Amino acid sequence: MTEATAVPATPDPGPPPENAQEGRSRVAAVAWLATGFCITLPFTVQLFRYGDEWWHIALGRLILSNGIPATEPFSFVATQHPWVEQQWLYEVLLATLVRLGGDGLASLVLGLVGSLALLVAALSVPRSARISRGWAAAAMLLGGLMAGMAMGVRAETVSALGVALTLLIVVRWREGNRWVVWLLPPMFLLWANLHSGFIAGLGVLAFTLVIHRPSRGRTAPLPDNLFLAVIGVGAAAVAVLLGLVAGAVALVLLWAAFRPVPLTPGVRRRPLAIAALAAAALTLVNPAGPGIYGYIAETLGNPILSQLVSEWQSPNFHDALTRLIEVLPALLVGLWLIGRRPRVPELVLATAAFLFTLQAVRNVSLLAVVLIPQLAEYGQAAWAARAPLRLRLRLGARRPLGLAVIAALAVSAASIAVMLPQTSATAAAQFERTHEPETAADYVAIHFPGQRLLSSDADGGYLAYRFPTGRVVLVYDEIGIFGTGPLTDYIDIATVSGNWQGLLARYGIRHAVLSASGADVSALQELGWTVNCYEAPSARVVMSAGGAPPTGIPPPPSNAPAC
Amino acid sequence: MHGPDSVVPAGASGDAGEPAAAPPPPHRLRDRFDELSTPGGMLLVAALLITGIAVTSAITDPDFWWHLRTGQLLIANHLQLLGHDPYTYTVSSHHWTMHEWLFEIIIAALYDIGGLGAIVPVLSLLTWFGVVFILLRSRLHTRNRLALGVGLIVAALAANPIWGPRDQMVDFTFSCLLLLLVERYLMRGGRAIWLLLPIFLLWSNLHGGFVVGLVFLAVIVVAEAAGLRLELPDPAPRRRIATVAVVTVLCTLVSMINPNGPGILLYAAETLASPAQQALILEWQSPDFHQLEVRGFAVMLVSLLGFLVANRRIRARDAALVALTTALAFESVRNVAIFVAASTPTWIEQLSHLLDRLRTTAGRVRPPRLPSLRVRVTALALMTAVLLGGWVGLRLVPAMATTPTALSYARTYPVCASAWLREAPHGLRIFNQYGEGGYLAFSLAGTGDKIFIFGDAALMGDKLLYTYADISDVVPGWQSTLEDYGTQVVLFDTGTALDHVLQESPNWVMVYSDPHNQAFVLRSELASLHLPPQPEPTGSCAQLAAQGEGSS
Repeated sequence: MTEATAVPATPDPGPPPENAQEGRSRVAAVAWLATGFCITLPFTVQLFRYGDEWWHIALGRLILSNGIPATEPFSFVATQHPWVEQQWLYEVLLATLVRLGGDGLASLVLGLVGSLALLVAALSVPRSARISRGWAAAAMLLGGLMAGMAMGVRAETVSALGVALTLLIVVRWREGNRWVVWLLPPMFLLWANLHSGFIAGLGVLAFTLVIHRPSRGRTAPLPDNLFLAVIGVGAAAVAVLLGLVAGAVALVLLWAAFRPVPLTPGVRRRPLAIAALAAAALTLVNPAGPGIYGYIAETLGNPILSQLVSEWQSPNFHDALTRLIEVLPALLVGLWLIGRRPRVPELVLATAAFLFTLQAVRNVSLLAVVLIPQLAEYGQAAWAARAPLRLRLRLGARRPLGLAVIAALAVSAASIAVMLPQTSATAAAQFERTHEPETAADYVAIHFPGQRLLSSDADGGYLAYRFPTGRVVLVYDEIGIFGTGPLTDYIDIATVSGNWQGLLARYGIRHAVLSASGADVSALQELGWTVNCYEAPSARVVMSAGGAPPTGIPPPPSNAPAC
Repeated sequence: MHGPDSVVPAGASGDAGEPAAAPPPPHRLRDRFDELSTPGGMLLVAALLITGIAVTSAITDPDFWWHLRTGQLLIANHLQLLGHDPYTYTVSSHHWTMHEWLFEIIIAALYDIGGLGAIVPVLSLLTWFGVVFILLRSRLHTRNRLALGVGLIVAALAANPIWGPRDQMVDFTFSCLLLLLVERYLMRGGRAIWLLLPIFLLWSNLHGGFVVGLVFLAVIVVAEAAGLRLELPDPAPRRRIATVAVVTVLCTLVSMINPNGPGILLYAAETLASPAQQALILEWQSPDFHQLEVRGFAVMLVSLLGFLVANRRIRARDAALVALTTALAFESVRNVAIFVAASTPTWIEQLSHLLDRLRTTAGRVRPPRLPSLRVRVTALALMTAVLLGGWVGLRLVPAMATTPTALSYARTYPVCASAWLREAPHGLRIFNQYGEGGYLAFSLAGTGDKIFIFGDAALMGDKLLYTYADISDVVPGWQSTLEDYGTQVVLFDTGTALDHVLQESPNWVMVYSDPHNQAFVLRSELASLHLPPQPEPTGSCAQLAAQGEGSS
C-alpha cells in the first residue's frame, strides 16, 4: 500500500532491490484492479431487463439490411419530431452481437463495457495522490453496486465509459500531459454515433474549461469571500425555481465566474479547449447532423418523460440498493471531513452529479464514475489521517505477493462464476418468457398479422422487435421523437382517462397486448372487447374489439385460453 | 469531526461587521431594541414572522376530518377509547390503536368552541413554537443573527410541503423542544432535562410519532459516547451523557403510560414496516424532486454539506442527527419536517462558522455605521407591523374563516356528494377514495353510512390497502371484490380510471355527478336503494358546478 509513507515501517531484514519492489507493486496493483474489475461483473452483466433492448436490436437489424431509416419505422402514430437515429452504431453492434452469440453475448459484452467504465473511473485519480489500488478496488465495488441500477444492455453503459474516459483524460491533462487531450476528438466522433449521452462528456469538458483559469498558483482553497454567498444563493434559487439539474449547472457557472480554480504551473488550457471544440464539432458527424442536439433538447425538455419512464424519476429510497445514492455521497463527505479537504473541481462535480441523480435516478452511473476516484483517493487519505496506528501497522505489514495474487484470483473467479449464468442462452430465454409477451406475440402473429396493437410503451419495444414491419406499435420508449401529443394520447388510453375511447377509434386500434392486471383491460372488457388468450408466465393477455358489453361481471382474464 | 487544518474559531459571533466574540446577553429593553434593530436583528425578526406565515394555512390534511370526528365521539363516549372504528364496513372488527386520542379530544373541544376558526390558530402556533425552539437551540451555539435569520427562512422553505395545521406538527414541535432541552443540558447542565418526562407523558398521548423523540435521545447518547471515544470536537461531559441515557430509559417507560399501554411503542414500528403504506400513500413515498416544493429540502441539504466541507467541524451528536434525519427524509417526504427540526440548528451554526471565516479573511473589524436607535426602532416596528398584518390578514384570518363546506374544500372533498348522501336512506356501504374517507366520516356522522377506507392506514392493514388499490386501479376482478364487501355505492373522483370504467359498465348506473365526484350503484340494486334525485346545488356546490361547467 502506498500509504506506507504514513505508516511506520515494519522491521525488515533489509530493503529489497528497487526494481524488485517496483515489480511487486505493479503486480499487486494489477491484481487489485483485476479483482475490482471482476468483482463488479455480477452487477454490470445483466439480462435484457429494460425492455428497450428489443427495439434497439430490431433497429440494428433494419439498419444492417436497409440502411438507416429516414422516418420512424415501427409506430403507426405520426411522430411530432424528426426521426433522429442517435444510437445507430450501438444498435448495429448490438444486433451483430446477438446474431453472433445470442442475447448472452450482448449481456456479456455490455457488462464488460460497464465494468471497464468503473475501472477507468478508478484510474482517474491524480498520480500525485499515489493511492493504493486496493482503495481503487474497494471504490469500484461500491460504485459498481450503485451503478448496476442503471447499467446493463443499453447504450447508457457506453456513455458511462465515455464519461469515465473523459474524466481520466481531464485528470491527466491537469497533471501536465498535453497530448492526451487529442484522444478526445476521435472518442467523441465514435461516442456521438453510439449514444446521445456524449452530451455528458461535453458537459464535463465544458465544466473543466470554465472552472479553471491559467495561473501560477496552486489549486485554490474553498472560496473565502462573499462570492460564496452569490454562488450559493444563485445556485439555490435556480435549483428551487428551475430544478436540480439547472441548479447544478448554475452552481458550476457561478463558481467558474466568481471563483475559477488556478491551474498548476505548466498546464495550459488552450490544448484542452481546442481538443474539446474539435470533439464538439465532430459530434456533428452523425446521421442526424446538428439535429442530434435538437433530439437531446427535446428529450430533456419533455415534461411527460418522468411520468412515463421510471428512471427519469427521482430515486425511490425504499429500495435498499437505491440507498447507496445517499450512502456513498455521505461517505465521501465524511472522508472529506476527516481526511483531506477536497479540491474545488471535484467538490463541484460531485455535488452536480448528486443533484443530477436526485432529479433522475438514471444518472446514477454518472454519479458512480464521479464518486469512484474520489472515494479511493479521499478514503486512503482519511485512513492515513485517522485510522488507529495499530490497525494501520497490521494492515500495512507486507504480505506474501503470491498469496495476495491467489486471493485475488479466487475472488475474481468467484465473481465470474456468479456472473456467467447470466450470459447463458437458457437464462436469456427464461427471462424473455417471463418478462416479455412472447407467446402473446406468437398468437398475434398468427391471428392478427399486420393489425395495429395497443400495448404499454414498455411492451411496445418488444412488439417492435417481433413485428418490425407493418407499423403495428403505438409507442415505445424512444420518448424524444414522439412529442407530447402522441404520448399524451397514449397516457390517456393507458390510464383510462380523458377521451380514451375516442382515441382508440381515432387510431383504429382493435387489438391489444396488455398486462392482465391493467386498468385498460377492465375498461376494454366493459366496452365489449374479448380476451382472446392469456399468457401465464408474463401475465399478458391478447384482446380484440367487436364483442358485446358483458351482462354480468366479466370473467377474470386468466380464465381465457392459453396463448 | 475536524480536519487537521480546521480554522473554525471556537467562539460565537454577531452580525456581519460586529466583533466575532459573543456579546454579553442584553438585559435592558434598550439593549434588546438595539440588538433587534440592527440589520441582522431585523432579518431575524422578519424570518420569525415569515415562518409564521409559512406555517399558517387552512386545514388541508385529509386525515384531519376523521380525527375531528373521532374526538367528538371520544367526548361523547366519556373519553373511553372506541376499540373499533365506527366508520368502515371493511375493518370494523380490527382493533384500533388510538394513538392520537388526546389530540383528537383537544381539536374536538376547540371545534366545539369556535369551529375551524379555533383550531387553525392553535395548530399554527404550535408549529410556530417549534420554529422558536429551533431558534433557541441555535442560539445556544451562535448569536449571528444573519445566520439565524437566513437559517429560519431556509428551514421554512425546506419544510414547505409539510407545513400546515395537522397532527404531525405535534411531533415537529415536540422534537424541537426535546432537542433544545437536551442540547441545553449537554452544554450547561441544569435540571430542565427532567422536563422530558412530563413531555413524553403528554407526547405519547398526543401522537404515535413520539417514538422519533426516543430515537433522537438514543442516537444522541450513542453518538456522544462514540464522540468521546474518538475524541471528536466539543464532546459533552461524560456524566451528562450518562444522565441523558437514564432520562432516555425513563422517558421510554413514561411513554407507556397511555391508554394503549406498551403496545404504543410497536405502533410506529408497524407503520414503518408496512410495505403497503410505504408504496401506496403519497406522503410516505420518497421526495419527488421534480416538484417545486420539495427542492427547498434538497437545497438545504446540499448547502449544509457544503458548509460542513468548508468548516470541517461538527459535533458527534449533530452529525448523527443530520445523518439520521436525512435518511428519514429521503425515505418519506413527510419526514422532511423532522429533518428541519433536527438539522436546522446545525445548518445555522455551520453558516455562522463560515461567515466568521469570511470575516476573518476579509479582515474587516469596524462595524458598519447604523442610523440612530429611534430610526431603527421605527423601521423595526413598521416592518413587524407589515409582516404581522400580512400573517394575520392574509393567512390566519382567511384560514380561520374557512368552513367545512367552503368552496376550497368542495374542490377537494366530497362536500356536495355528502350533502346528497345525507338525504339518502341511511346505512349505505360506500366505496370511497382513500383521501376522502376522513371527510366522509366527518360529514356523514350520525347517518349510519359506512365507508370502505379512511386515512388510518395502520388500522386498515396492508390487505385492505392493496385491495383498495386494486379496485381504484380497476384491476380485473374489481367488481367481484366490491360485491364481496357488499358495497352499495361507489363514490369516486370524476375523471379517474374507475370513474370512466363505471360509466362504461352496463352493470352500474350513475346516480350522482358534480365536477369533483360521481356516484354509481349496481343497476340491479338501484330500485331497492331508494336514492333521492340529485339536489339542485346551492352555496359552494353551486359555485363548484358553475366553475366545473365553465372549465368544461
